[in-house]
Amino acid sequence: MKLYRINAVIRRHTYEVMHNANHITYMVYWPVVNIVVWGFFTLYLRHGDRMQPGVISCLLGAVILWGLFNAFQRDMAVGFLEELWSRNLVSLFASPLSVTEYVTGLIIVTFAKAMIGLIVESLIAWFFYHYDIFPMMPTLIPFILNLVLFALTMGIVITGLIFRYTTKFQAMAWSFAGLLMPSARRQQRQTADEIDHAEMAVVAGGTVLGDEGE
Amino acid sequence: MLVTIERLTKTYGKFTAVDDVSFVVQEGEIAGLVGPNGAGKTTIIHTMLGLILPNAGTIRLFGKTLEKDREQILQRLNFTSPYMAFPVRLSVLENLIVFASIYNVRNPKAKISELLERFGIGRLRDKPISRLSSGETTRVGLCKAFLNDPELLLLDEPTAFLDFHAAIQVRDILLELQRSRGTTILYTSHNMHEVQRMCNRIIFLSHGRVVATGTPIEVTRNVLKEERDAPALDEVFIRIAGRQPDEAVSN
Repeated sequence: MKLYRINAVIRRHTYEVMHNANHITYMVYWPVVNIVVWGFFTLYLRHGDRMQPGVISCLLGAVILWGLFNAFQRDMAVGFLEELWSRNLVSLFASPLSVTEYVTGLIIVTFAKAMIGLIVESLIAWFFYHYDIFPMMPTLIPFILNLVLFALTMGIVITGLIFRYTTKFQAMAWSFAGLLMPSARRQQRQTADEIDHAEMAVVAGGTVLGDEGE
Repeated sequence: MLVTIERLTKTYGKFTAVDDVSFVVQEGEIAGLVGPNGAGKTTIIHTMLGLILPNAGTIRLFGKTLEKDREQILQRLNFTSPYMAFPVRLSVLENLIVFASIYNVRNPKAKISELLERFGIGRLRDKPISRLSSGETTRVGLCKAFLNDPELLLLDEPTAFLDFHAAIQVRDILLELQRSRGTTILYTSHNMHEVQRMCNRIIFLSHGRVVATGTPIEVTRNVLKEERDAPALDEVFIRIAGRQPDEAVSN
């Protein structure tokens, strides 16, 4: 692996982000829509005392982390799709660039984009819904890494399918995360219950919505 | 030999795209890989670049094989085809900077400017690829192909999308660059006048097989089976294109 070739891939995708408004939409607009919708939902749940406070705050945290997973998996696959759409694959792989170098460069750009989305979502959750995920970040790092690894795996699997079967599989780039959503929600609910039982309010350092509101 | 291809075969299911093809390209020569549509030219080029794996046969470039020395081989050659494209939102300069980074070109902006001027598209430097004509994009591809000063250049129908005047211009630039740098070129084209003008030697393909090799005049005489004073590759092309697969005989 050569750093200058990884740098070339990073440049290629950075230029694309700079010129293509779709990337700004993916990176910022959708995370904002997502957190606003779920934020209002948690407000609704909070006002009616419909759920326990720990579960509500867990919901916003889950939305932020889900956004990270979704963005990472989607952008990995879309980054590769862009090479297919622009018929640039032959030029790239007729050069000394290896698949490993290409994927490494794409992972770096995708990670940066996903982190921008995560920060935007976290700031909105903090500013508008008084949900501060930042103090929990050190605790969440292993979970975030786990999610990123899983998203990366999914992104590579989908990219592999696109590579093998061309753009017939491109819809998977956007929709695959949705397939996992029901099981993720189930898992999240289990986690929320467990955390709730272990007094989530203490773990979250007093940032739970319900506590602050009352 | 810079390029040695031995008994190369590539099949797609029951269809044989390249059938037991062998040829060599010597250092400094311009070899034409010609033949009708579906003859296997692009498949051979893509196999040489490691984009397609052959079913049988060996390819040696610079005396090395792609399996062992892919990186070193591809660093020393380059390729262009009007059928490949560039990311359309990126400007000409940005696209070429990406490839200059891949090839680790020193002082890339100066190199890119020199090549853009050479191919007459210096004014397009900051334009996105989406605003270029197909002929202009072809020239960008040619600039990309010369970025790393390749020792071996694979050109797949480089003038296919160019008008007559632009094709002559590009052909002259290629000949000039080849003479000044001693680049070896493997050139595919349907334009027999162009091939006749450019190539020292021709490898004629039909239905995936080599049907004739030699200088343009040798190929003309062998295929037409007549004494000729001048090459007549158009006639050769028509004769070969009209043959059935079982008539394609190695020469």
